[in-house]
Amino acid sequence: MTDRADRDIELIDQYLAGDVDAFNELVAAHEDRVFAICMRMLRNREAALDATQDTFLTVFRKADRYKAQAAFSTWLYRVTVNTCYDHLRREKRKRADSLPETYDPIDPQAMDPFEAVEARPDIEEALSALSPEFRAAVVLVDMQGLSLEMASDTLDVPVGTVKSRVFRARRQLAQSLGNLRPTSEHPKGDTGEQ
Amino acid sequence: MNDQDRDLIASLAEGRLSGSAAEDALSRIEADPEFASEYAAQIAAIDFLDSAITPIMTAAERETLHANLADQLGLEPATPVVVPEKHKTPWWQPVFGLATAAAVVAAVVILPGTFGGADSADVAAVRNFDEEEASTSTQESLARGDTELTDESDGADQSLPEDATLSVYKTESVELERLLTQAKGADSPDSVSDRLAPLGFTSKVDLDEEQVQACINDLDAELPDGIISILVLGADVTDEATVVSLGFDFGEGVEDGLSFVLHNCSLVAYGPQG
Repeated sequence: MTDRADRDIELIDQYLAGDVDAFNELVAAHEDRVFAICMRMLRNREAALDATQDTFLTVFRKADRYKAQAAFSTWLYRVTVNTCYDHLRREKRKRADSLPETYDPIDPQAMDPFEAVEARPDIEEALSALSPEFRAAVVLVDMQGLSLEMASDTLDVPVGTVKSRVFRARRQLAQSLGNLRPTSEHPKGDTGEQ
Repeated sequence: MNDQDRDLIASLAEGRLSGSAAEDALSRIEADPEFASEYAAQIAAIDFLDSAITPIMTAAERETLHANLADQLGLEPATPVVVPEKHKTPWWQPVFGLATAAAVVAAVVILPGTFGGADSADVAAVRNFDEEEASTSTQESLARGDTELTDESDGADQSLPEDATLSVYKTESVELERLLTQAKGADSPDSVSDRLAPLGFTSKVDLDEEQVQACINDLDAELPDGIISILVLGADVTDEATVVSLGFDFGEGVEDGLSFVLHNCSLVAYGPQG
């Protein structure tokens, strides 16, 4: 395991032994990535903050069940994605009950310049057109840089399924981009291994 | 098209193929329109997603999160975020023994006079020094009149104003790595400003431009090869020291950087590639 992964395991043990500083360090080490995944999945700042909080609450409440065979981060991201799925399901139910079909869930805070920079409508809109499963795959692999194997562990599906979801999600994104970008300008992939 | 074909296309698009495997795949793309179309779609989507700026929490949101978690988990409230034991000293504690001798072959140092406005170019100074000059100090270059202002409205003025200052963001306690992540790809003071905006910096500090230049000269041996330009990302100002963070552009915008203490030019942190 990496230094980070080893350190995470130490911190979980320390937290379970009552060390509050260990809790703080774990949160500080992972909160940015958890929040970024939530933002990409939920498209709404308030919902993403709630989901981030719910994720850490779940993780720390169930910390005694964490098995160190897998990296803590893998388990954490799995909880993150599942928490986001829950939020999306609740949101869908809520919308079905109370809002017209034209409801646009774009974060209203995104109107100010600060938000506008991070919540680019084209990316957010394109992502929102994907199913939650496809969105999760492409967010983890293409936006958070997880390996296919780690994404597979996180999503609890075979690597082949991750590959398939990422491939199809990209194709769908490319279709939704339409004329936004030319599709043959980039030679990426023809220069060798990463 | 089967799963194997799709895997091949994705591998090529992600840059995971090399040598003959890549060549074979490219030949297939040239020969097969369906293959080419799928490949183009993958590349377009990857590029599109690459261009997204990572969303981050504001300091206030972070504080609220910590407080809520502590409260709901029954922990002591308002416990400050603790960094690993080995990092308990300030994040910018001087780093010793990390020197990597490297000559700057061709560097342009871009020092933003101000961030975020149309007027930033008015005071942004660009210094060029060619291969022959690489071993000389920037100050010497300046003394020879090599300085070139980017002010398009006043191209005749080729000298720096005396006592020039740089107005840069106070980066508070944000670490170099986070600054670099956020500023990744920036190739001008304005784009640095744009990319750092989500971090929510609200105040600025005036730095002595000559002092910054002098430190860059002092740190010459620490600079990696291939730098095309150096951009000042901001400064962390505390009672103890002012720590300046720089970003290195190797041709595709800021990719790496370092931080140093302004009053003694001591290196305190390298970027991820350092």
